[in-house]
Amino acid sequence: MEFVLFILIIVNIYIVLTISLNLILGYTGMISVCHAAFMGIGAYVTTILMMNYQWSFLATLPLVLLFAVAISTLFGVASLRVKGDHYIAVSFGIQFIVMSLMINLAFTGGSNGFAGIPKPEILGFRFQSNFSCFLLSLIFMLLCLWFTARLAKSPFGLILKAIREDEMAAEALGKNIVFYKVAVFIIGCSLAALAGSFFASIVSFIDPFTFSLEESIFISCLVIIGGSGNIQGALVGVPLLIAFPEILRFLNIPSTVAAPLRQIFYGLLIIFFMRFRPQGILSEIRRKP
Amino acid sequence: MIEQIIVNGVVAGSVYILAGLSFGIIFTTTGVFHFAHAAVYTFGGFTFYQMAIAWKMPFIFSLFAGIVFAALLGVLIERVCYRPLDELQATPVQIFLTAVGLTIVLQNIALLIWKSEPLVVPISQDLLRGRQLGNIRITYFQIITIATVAALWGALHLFMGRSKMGKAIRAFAADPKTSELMGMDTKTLRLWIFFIGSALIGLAAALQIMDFGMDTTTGLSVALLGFIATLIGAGWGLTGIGVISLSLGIIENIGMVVLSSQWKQVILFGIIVLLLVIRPRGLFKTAAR
Repeated sequence: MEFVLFILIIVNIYIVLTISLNLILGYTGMISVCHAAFMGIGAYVTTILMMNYQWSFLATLPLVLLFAVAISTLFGVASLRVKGDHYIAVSFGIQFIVMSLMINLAFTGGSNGFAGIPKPEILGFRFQSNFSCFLLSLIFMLLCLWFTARLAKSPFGLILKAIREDEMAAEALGKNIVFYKVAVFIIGCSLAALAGSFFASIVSFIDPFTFSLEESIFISCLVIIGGSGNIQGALVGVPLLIAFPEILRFLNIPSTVAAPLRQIFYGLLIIFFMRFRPQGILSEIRRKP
Repeated sequence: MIEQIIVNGVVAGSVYILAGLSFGIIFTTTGVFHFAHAAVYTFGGFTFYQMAIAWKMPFIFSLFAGIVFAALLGVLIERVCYRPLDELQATPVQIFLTAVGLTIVLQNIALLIWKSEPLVVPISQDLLRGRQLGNIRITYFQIITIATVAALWGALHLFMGRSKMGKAIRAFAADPKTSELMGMDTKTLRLWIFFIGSALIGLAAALQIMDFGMDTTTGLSVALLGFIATLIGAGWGLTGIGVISLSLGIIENIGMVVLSSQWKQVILFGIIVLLLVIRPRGLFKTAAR
């Protein structure tokens, strides 16, 4: 039971990561491979403040947001104001630079990361048991889901889809494309950073390799397979893809073979989905013109 | 001291030139973000290793077999994965994610076959003997590397400028639709582009595995370097891409001496992000693809 609860917590956090990347990748059609890096930024800021400076969990969240917004604004403005593929290079750059910093800086715990991070405490209540942590992650997930659903339905969300379908047409309608692209990049990355904070505090262990390029790609995989350009997709895709490797655990395959096999399975899934069902399991509802 | 660093940089840079040219020739003509270039690199190098060391076949034969294998793998990927997507008029996101999926699958197959330790194809001690020229020390192997790359770069330049196929490739890059209407067999041409690009990256892998050795993750940074050199230098065509790749090799070597080797990735990606901030349209004024 404890194990199932733990999986459910992870599922909740990954749903947040998936819907936030969906805003960037699914709604706006921008490739971004630095989502795990932003999750890592959130996780590390929260962890360092809680462990080295004894901040409370809630108090770290505004600072996490500040960090994520600052970094995503800087890189977003720099790369998205130009037409073309530069932002892909920059997102690779963010991913590698952030991960290198986590491994090599003096105060980030090196490649061992941090263990024994305190569980979140809100208004005096400490979320110690797995069940309470699950509830916390569920509330966090539902809040993010609500926020994203509102955003997607708003004129803002519609403009994002317009940019994806035809950038030039959206621009011809007088929309400031760069503004919208940068804005959605900031929003998506900030949500990812918040998810990272919850992840660090609830799981209470982080190391740099949790936030690698492979993880970013895995999150893209979740977006694509669940269904890009809609909210419900994440609710289907994430549980499916997170639960699957746990089944492998019960088969007697040595981990040196099981890990690559799992990756190969994900890779094949992406290829097949892109070829035969690019909209994912749940497709976006399109209104008839 | 400084001369030695520059010489080392030129040696590292010559492998980067191959990476840049091979990625560039594919990306600037077909527009495919060929992320799976990383896997082609891995398979090229490891096939060479497998034949020369594990199966004890003649050295030169294995070298060529590795390069040919890489070239054929590239062609196979184009035929099986990219061409159907091209016919479906897939979005760039679809093509990019397919390439990512392919990379995951192929890299993990390589991981299952060759494990994660770095492999080296040892070369004869005579080639590794140094030669002192004033302040600099350079091995015969390094001289051979530089000479080979210089010759190939020149040959590719002539090929693209003078030969019929080179002209066809340039016409295709400028306008794929029109070239097809003019009766060019663009599908076969795309296969040839992938053949050339993949053979070049196969050679890069062979040089790397003879000198430093490589593991399954090396390909990723090489392919990314090629992508970045292409983004920055594409305004000047293949010459620009080659020059940028070479400069990146030299700058990286200087940076590693000034700081230390663990900051390699931060230096490289830091330069790229900086460049994109200062000169968003590429280093050379004309608009890149």
